[in-house]
Amino acid sequence: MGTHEKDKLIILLDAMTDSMGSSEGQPIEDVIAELKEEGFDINTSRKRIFESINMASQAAKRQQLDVAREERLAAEAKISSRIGKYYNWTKEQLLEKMQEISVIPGSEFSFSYRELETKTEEDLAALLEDLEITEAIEEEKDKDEK
Amino acid sequence: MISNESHEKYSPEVRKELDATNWEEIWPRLLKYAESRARKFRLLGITDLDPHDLVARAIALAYGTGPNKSYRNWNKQKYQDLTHFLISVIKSITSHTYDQFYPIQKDSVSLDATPVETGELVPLSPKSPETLLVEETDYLKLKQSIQEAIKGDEELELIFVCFEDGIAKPREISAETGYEIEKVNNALKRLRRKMKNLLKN
Repeated sequence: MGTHEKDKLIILLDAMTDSMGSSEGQPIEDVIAELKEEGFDINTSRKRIFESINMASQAAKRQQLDVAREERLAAEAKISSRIGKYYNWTKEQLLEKMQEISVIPGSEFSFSYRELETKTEEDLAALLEDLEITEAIEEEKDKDEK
Repeated sequence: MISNESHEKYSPEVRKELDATNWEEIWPRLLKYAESRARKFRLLGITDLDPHDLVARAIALAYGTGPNKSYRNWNKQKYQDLTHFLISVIKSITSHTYDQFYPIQKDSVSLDATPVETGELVPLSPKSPETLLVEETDYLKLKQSIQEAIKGDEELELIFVCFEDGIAKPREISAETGYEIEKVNNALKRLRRKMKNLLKN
């Protein structure tokens, strides 16, 4: 039997086993009756398959938690790198940075310069940190949506 | 990694649907199909695949928890219901070129031997010329055995021709042969019994 003939036999076997396994339009009771006839212990089979479903579902939930944990750790790492960044800055430097942020196209932040001038260096540094953390969280969210 | 044709990322939204599915209506159909596909390997003498394991693997792939996080996305345009989708996954798992599995050796292919990368059955080592000869003879013998088993059953003999043309769906066989669908289904039942006997011998 040449390769061509062999391929034909493979087509035959695929079609035959596909067809014999079809249950389209068949009531479920008939399918179960056939399985019994094939020698399946229905209770055991049912139990085994439901265990598989349960295991896959649990594994999926674990996987979901792992992904969430990874994302959280990545976001935390990003955030922690920004904490304390502005503590040694002068008030002028902090105000300049605030202005930079407010003029970035698409920036949702706007500041009243006069109001900012009344703040201490610590307040301004904390405010900048908050803004950067918010930005980091937004970036992570954008990544998730993509 | 098993995924759908477009290699897109796994869509975890489907998990909610899978969790909410009434599996009582589905599992017997999956098992029936898996049993039939496993029979293909038994006929070839390759291995004794456990149909329960085939069903379990298809379900794991649908949940995106196959080996090495392999998955299958449910293309709802192609497979409108979950049963059809999972059957397509089982079909895919069991649709290997037989060349990959020869030489015929019991225990050569098992579910434990699933390669982590693909989640598919493992191919055997390259064939020697002697093996190729055995293979050809075995294929020929197998076809003759099937033909012998259905000899005298006119309906099955005609359906066999459909199989040779790759026609597998009972509806299509019905259209091709002109037999009522019930007649086709009854013939397929007889075929299952005959194949079961063939495997016993």
